[in-house]
Amino acid sequence: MANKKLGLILMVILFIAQLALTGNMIFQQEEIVVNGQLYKFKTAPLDPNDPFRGKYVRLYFQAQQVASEDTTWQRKEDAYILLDEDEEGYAIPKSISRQIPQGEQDFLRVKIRSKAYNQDLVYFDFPFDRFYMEESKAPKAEKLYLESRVDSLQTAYAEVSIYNGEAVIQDVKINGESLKDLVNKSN
Amino acid sequence: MSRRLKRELTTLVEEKVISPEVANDIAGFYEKKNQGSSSKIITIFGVFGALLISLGIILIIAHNWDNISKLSKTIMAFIPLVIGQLSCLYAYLKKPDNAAWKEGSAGFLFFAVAATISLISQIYNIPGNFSVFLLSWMLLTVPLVYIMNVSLVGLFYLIGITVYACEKGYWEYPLDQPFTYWLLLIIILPHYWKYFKMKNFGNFFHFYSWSIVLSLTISLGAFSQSHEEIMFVTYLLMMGVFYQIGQLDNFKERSLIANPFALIGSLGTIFILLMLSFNWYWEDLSNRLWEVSLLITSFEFISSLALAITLIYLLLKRHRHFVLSRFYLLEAAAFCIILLIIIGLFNASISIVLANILVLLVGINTIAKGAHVDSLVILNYGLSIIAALTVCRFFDTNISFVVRGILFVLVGAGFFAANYWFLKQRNKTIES
Repeated sequence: MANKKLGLILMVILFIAQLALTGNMIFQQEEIVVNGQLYKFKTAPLDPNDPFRGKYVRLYFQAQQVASEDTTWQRKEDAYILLDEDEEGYAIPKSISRQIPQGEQDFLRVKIRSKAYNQDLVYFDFPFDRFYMEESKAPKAEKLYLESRVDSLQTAYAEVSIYNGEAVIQDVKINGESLKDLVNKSN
Repeated sequence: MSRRLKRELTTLVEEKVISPEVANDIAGFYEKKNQGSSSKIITIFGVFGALLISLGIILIIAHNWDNISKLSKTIMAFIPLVIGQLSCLYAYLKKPDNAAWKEGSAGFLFFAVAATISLISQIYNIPGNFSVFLLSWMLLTVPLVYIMNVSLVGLFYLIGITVYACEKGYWEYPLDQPFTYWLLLIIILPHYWKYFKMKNFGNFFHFYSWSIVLSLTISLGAFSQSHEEIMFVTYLLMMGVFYQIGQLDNFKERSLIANPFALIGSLGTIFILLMLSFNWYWEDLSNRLWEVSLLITSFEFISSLALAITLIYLLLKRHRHFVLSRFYLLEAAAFCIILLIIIGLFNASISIVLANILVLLVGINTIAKGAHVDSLVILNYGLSIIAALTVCRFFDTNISFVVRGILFVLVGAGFFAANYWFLKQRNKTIES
């Protein structure tokens, strides 16, 4: 009987741990959205043959490089970029460092991809690289996205909340309109 | 009880072969047996049903719901988890002796945890690291094995930690030695040990044995970083330990398929010996620049040392009173290879020849063992080892086709001759 009571207590603790871990995932993301600053990241043109994999949009961004004289950067190494905005209001990286920047400016944790050969330039990957869409909408979204790629008047970008070095992708837009809404309109 | 048996019992009673009371006892015995087997069938179907439900829920991961609010999606994401937890609670409190309920609900919860984490990741667009996801999933579900005393989750757990080791050591970039794998493996071993202690050698025990052997065999290579040549020795020693475990009382008397330690230990040893019979290994070994300080601190060396000590202990325990006719060269193959490696550092050519002679001797020893214990299977296994060695030499030596052809004919003739002689001896024994 005592064993059964102990088993029950352990089971309840386990279930609380399971709920707590998944709850914590949500809490961390919501904290970034509520307390973070919203930035727009311009997306780069994609390979038209496979811009979508499975049920999510694979995102590639233009501003994934920054000047750096440091030649010791290693692939997959953690780094922090300070963010700024260009004249059109899109986020651009200002500088990169191995330590968390001090001060009030927004910064983002990234992973080093590679160092440019013969240039003081380093390439990195953002932590947000996919945007999930409902499977029936993906083909239509693909069509709209490809059209925006060839039309220079159209700009696609991702809206990302950034807080304390962490990021949450909120939406993907073309000329200010959500991709999901554009797909719904085209139905 | 089958109708045929009922008819036979009636006939036996009418012919006064057995009394009506004995007939009733026999009928009662088979009724009980069928109930046992029908409850086993229900357990199996219950487990399959839970598996299918679990897999169906996993498939829902691929579906995004763009037209409902984030809050509603989040609540839906938790539904499988909550259902799994409630069914586990119900099984634990109300159906503690019902294996189908316990295994089914625990199996369902195992996949529900993964489904909920995945759904939340999708809804909130959380970028994921697969190895971190696997680690969380396994750690959040393995306690069920002990709390509810279920085995299916234990088997899934073993598969999960093997995939984790492969992800970290073979697939992820940059590669990393998954040392956490050993801690994860230790967590499940007490449950396996319980089968030993309670002498419960049913189906789950065999599944566990196979899972542990295969998990170790697959995952060990993930730790290889800088001294791949020594990793072959590590594997040989591990196969040797497996083989010795397979000779313990609880395994020895079982069929081959129920003794994965002996089967994989033996096949694994032969496979590695055949790989080491090729030139490339010994040429790489002698050309490599060895740095002793790096070597003795490498995982390959330290694990080889630990396995060698274990193997020596098991060999000494088993061959306390050494009898040459009972000794099987395969058991000491790892130590022979260590000796050849020391020779190979100075002269690779000698080691190549000796490695081939070693495989040949193991084959001949196996044939002799088969004849000694009156086993056609072991005898043919020995012949297969020699045949495999011949095939390997077919590909990498510069001997003429005629000679190769003659060698194949000799090996094939050897197969016929050995089997013919063996069956003739056996028939002679039966007649006398």
